[in-house]
Amino acid sequence: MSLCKTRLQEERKQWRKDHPFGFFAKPCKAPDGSLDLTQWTAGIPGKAGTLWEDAVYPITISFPEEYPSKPPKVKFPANFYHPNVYPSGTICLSILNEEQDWRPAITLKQIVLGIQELLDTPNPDSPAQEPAWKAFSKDRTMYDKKVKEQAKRYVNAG
Amino acid sequence: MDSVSNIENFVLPPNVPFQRVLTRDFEFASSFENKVDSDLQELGKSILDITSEYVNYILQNDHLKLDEEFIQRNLDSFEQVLRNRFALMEFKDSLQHSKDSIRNNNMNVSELTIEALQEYQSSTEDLKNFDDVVISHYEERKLSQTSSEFKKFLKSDKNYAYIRSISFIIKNPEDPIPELEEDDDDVNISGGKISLKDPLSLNYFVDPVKSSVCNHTYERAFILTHLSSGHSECPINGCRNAVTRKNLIKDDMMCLRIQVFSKRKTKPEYETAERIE
Ligand SMILES: [Zn+2]
Repeated sequence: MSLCKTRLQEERKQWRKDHPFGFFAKPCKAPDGSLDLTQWTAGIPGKAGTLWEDAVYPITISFPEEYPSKPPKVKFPANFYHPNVYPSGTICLSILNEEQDWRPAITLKQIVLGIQELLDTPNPDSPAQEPAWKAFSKDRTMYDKKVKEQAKRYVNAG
Repeated sequence: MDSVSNIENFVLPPNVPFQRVLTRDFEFASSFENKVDSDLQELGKSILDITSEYVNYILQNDHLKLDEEFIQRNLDSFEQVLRNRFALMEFKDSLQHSKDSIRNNNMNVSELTIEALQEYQSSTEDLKNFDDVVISHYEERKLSQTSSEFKKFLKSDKNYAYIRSISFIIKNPEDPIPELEEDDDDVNISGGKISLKDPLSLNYFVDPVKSSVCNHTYERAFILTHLSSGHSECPINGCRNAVTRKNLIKDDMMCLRIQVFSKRKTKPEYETAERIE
């Protein structure tokens, strides 16, 4: 069995055995009804006490054939409002970047926790979209309002 | 003539053969030491060989179990061998000391002349007491030795560390091997467990290899996959060392950990990649 498949099976097993509270993650079903371990959907709960609370934000995770040598690609829905999310939804996070801090030993659990952390602590040094980044650095009232509006849209997600 | 009558009365001072006798004694002593030391080393090597052959045999036969007592006995015997070698080193030192101090004494002795004959004859004391000189040096050194110097010696011995690791792992397959403390007999188990899982696949090791550069362990097939995909960095978080095929060596200690661990746990979650297939 390939490294990628072996690893993903183990990730799934570990996730089912134990995962952080409020999160979900599951492989997608292929058209023929079988599980496609390389495509996952997951939900990231906003941390309590932050602008992002009371909502679960959906992400998709695609694992390349060379995973875990290469990192998975993780996306929010297109036009997701966050300074470090590209208009396509792709998340700009150093642990997900092969050239930066990706290490093959980083687990799915560490990835989703890293994304949850990013929600309320954007990195001002890596802007990925104009609207959220501008508002975050220049008009915080506007930023907060937009984030809260977005949270409402994902209240019952997952 | 005056001088002739003096020669007739000449008594050879015992100190003249003294040097020769002493040299012979030292030669004998040093050949004796070498013999004892090589015997001890031989003994140590056979304990080491028996231990590693035994462990390898058990590792190749999944249904067999390592005998803790047998390993412990080998460890004790090996330590005893090192203790004797250490004592022998002490003895060698004492001998060298005695030799040096006698030589130094001789340097202060005046040239061999008729006038100095008296002095020479009286210095036979040293010769008579040669054994005593060595013994007293030895005792002195032994007194000044604390057990910590022996511990240091023990600590520097790789083969001892090897047998000790085996002995420890059999009892604690998931714990890091504690440092041998120099001044403390207590075994300190540092916090944290040793992961018995491959960092790439997250599965239990089956054929673990380690990088001789950073000492991190991986499953052989999977690190090779990683390397062949154009990556050359160690996959462990926080380690940026380069890994190459030729730096990979079989990790015997991890094999041992896995075998001991798998025999202890019969939980269903203990599965290896192979068993899933
Ligand atoms: Zn390493």
